[in-house]
Amino acid sequence: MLKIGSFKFGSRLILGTGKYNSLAETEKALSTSGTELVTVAIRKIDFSEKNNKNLLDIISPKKYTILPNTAGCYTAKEALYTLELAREILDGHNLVKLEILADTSTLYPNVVETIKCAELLYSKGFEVMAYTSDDPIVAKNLSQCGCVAIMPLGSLIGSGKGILNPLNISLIVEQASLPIIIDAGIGLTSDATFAMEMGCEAVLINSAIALSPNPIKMALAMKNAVIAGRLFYEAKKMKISNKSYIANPSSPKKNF
Amino acid sequence: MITISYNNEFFNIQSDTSLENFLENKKLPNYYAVTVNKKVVSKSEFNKIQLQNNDHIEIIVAVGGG
Repeated sequence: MLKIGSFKFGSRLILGTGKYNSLAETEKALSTSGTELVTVAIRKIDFSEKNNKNLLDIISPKKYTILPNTAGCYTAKEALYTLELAREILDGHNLVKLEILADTSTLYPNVVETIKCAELLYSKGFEVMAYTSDDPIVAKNLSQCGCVAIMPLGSLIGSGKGILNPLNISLIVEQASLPIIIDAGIGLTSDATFAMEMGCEAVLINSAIALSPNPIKMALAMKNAVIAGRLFYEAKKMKISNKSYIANPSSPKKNF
Repeated sequence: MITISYNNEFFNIQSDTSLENFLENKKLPNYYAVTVNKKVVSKSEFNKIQLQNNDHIEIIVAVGGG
């Protein structure tokens, strides 16, 4: 069971809802993945859209826990405004993904603004999951200012480059008193499994599924990758000999 | 009469129109928020907001994002 603040989830796979070809495809991928927690962005309504359906008409908050993000925000002030809108849209729902960007080309997080905003959001009753860099000190600072989960990037948003600094992620996991969730960079199923093997509590995936030529099959692949990694982490790795590199047969040596 | 903008479209309305009155005939999704001049207005406050000339109303919704 994944516990994030006052929320509990059976699935450890969090899905983004961007970049799909249609709302129907989004819903099919989400339901196939088994996810219970899905991110959304907050924007002005577009009345010109041909399909007049709204995302939350398809991805119902009665079925999924909605995680509004602050994508596109570059200051704490913008992020706070966006999440106040989200709380109004979702009738008081308070679990949010804080994402304050520093740079338009890398979408790297502005950790100074993120820490400042996390403290403010905590004082206003939000439960904050914070997107951040893979810096263990920043992760520690965020955990001390009321966040309910820390979400370091594996690599740049939408890059699919995997987990580029596993040693830093391990440091963050080892010192953590909160769930650590890899947010951004997952490209392969092995990336998702690797994150879970290291002890991350969950992974957040969007592009790797939505931009696959077969998003529904990829959603199932990522579901199983996350399950496999978590089972491995719970079962624990075999003990490996420190002696020289020699084989150790699995079959009996005697009575051959 | 006063002029207000609603998601970048302009409307001429009676000067005593409340936000609630203005929105009652608009087609809105199930989940949305409203801002007036970039301030978030709680749904419970709609009937208390008297629209003013040049007010700018926007409807905000959730869209796909990661």
